[in-house]
Amino acid sequence: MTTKTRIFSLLKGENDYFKRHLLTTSALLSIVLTAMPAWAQESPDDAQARIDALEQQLERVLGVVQDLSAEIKSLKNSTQAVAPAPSPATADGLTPIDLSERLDAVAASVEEANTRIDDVEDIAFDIDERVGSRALVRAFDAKSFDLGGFIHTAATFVDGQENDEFAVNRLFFGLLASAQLSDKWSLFVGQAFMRDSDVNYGDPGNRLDPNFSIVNKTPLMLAYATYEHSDALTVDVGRFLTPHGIINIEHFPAILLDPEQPQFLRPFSGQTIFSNFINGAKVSGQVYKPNGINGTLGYSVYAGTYTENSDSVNYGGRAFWSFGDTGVTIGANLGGGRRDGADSDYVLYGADLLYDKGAFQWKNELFITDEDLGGDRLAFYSQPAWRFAEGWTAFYRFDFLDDGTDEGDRKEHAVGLTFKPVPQVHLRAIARLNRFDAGGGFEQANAENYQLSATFSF
Amino acid sequence: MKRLSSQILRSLSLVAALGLGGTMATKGWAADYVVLVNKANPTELSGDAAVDTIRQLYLKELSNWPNGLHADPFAREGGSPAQTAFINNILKMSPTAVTDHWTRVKQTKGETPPREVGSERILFRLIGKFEGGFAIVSAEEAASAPDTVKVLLTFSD
Repeated sequence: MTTKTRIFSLLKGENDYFKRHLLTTSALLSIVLTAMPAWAQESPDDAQARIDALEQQLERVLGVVQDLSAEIKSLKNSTQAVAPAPSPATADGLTPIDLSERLDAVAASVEEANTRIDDVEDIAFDIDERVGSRALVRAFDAKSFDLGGFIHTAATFVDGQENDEFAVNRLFFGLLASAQLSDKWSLFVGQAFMRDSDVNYGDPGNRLDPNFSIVNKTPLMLAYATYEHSDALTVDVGRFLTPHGIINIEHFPAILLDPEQPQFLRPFSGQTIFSNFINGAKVSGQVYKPNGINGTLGYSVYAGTYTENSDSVNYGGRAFWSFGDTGVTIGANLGGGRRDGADSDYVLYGADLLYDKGAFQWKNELFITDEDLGGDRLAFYSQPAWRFAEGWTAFYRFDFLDDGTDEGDRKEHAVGLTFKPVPQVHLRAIARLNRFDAGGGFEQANAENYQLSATFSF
Repeated sequence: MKRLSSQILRSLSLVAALGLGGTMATKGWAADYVVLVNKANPTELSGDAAVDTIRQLYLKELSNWPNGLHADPFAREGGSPAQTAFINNILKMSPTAVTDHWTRVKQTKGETPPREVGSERILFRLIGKFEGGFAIVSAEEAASAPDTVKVLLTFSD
């Protein structure tokens, strides 16, 4: 029993202990008071003895009374220290139930506030973990600034008919940066730092004597400003990838299954069929479900100058149609301009077909040129790929190039296995067989090459 | 008292959830997950059109809602049930295909994936702040969404 309830019990006369002591005390006092006259008539010795006994009893009773008084006083003090007993209603008319509900509401509010503080603290910890005491990089003047890039390296062994060569022939650091200037305006820049070499052939027919000649290059790959009016109309001004086909648009080794692009895109930044890069302006856009037809219609048109032939204009464009969510995209390409180092114009026609859904991907491109001087050019490839396990892809590519010379066509078969242990790392093993057809007085020749490559992107 | 308060709080949450569940049923979004948009977004899409639009906006193949409003997609934490359901049912891609997509977009356009937001409360605030904002939340999380957001699409895993 608590002190508080004991007090209530005492006040209500429900405590037997207390009642017993009160009754005993009262009875003893009554006996003493009524017996006093009789004691006076007894002998002096007997009377004195009885008086002593009664005094002792009275003394004990008074002691008990004093104890009880002290206990009552103590209990009264303790009642003042504890909360008052529940009352049917407080001064402002609230019942205990109202107060309980208010208390619960406050508790709920506190709990919610604590949860929110936990969320904010999680974010603060996360930011602190990323930033810590380090300085933040801030753009001079932009809404946002993103930095990325990649390192690509490759080791290649070439077995030619007259020579074998091995080299770590690719080391390529690409730095990519984009800045959002406003909702409509942005910049994108890609700077390359390269120490690399293609497989070169030292013999007159470019087919028998493979070798590497690693050189240091630092080309500005991309640098353009974008104005995005809408999804249907975007304008890029600067240096950009010509929007032809599939692989030239993807271009960078972190994305490609075979970082050695198809023959018609070699050498890097060349113009074998069309200029891989161009300085100029591009207008592009896409429309989803035009006229209610399920699919996406897109286009890109451009005009500009090829760096190695900057006194003339190259132009071109591509239109594509994606068939809903079938994974199929077809593209049509048209272009033209002037050849590097020759007073010769060309017209480009091309088509591309992409299937990319689920475990299968199939890329195909075909380009034909109509040349003013020299033979017309033809290039195509077909590259099926199978994503057979998480991170693993196997592919094959047949690649054909007729570069318009009389030295014979070039065919390339490539079989590769690629693995991405994490999304930022792309490892590959590729075997390649090059066939050089007879022509121009040169005999047919073969070369095999085997390459291990890795691309690390961020 | 604390235990009692917790019990009452849980009971109220349950009652609220049941109440909102009833509302969800009447509104036709009795589902596992919902895609929330800003309340001021006038876009009205449903079915495959909504799924296709959200997929293209999330993947940044399109950057504007059909009405021209600039889209601000938000992602949930990688591997979370909501994000997994979103990838499976809206993007309809494998996780590898999604990462390949973002590698391609980053390297060719300089675009980055949508920002990941773990806390649904912060997500609500972001969607409420950006007129073109959108994200997936579970129906349970949506029950506590403020009136600055609304449901565009619902689906079950």
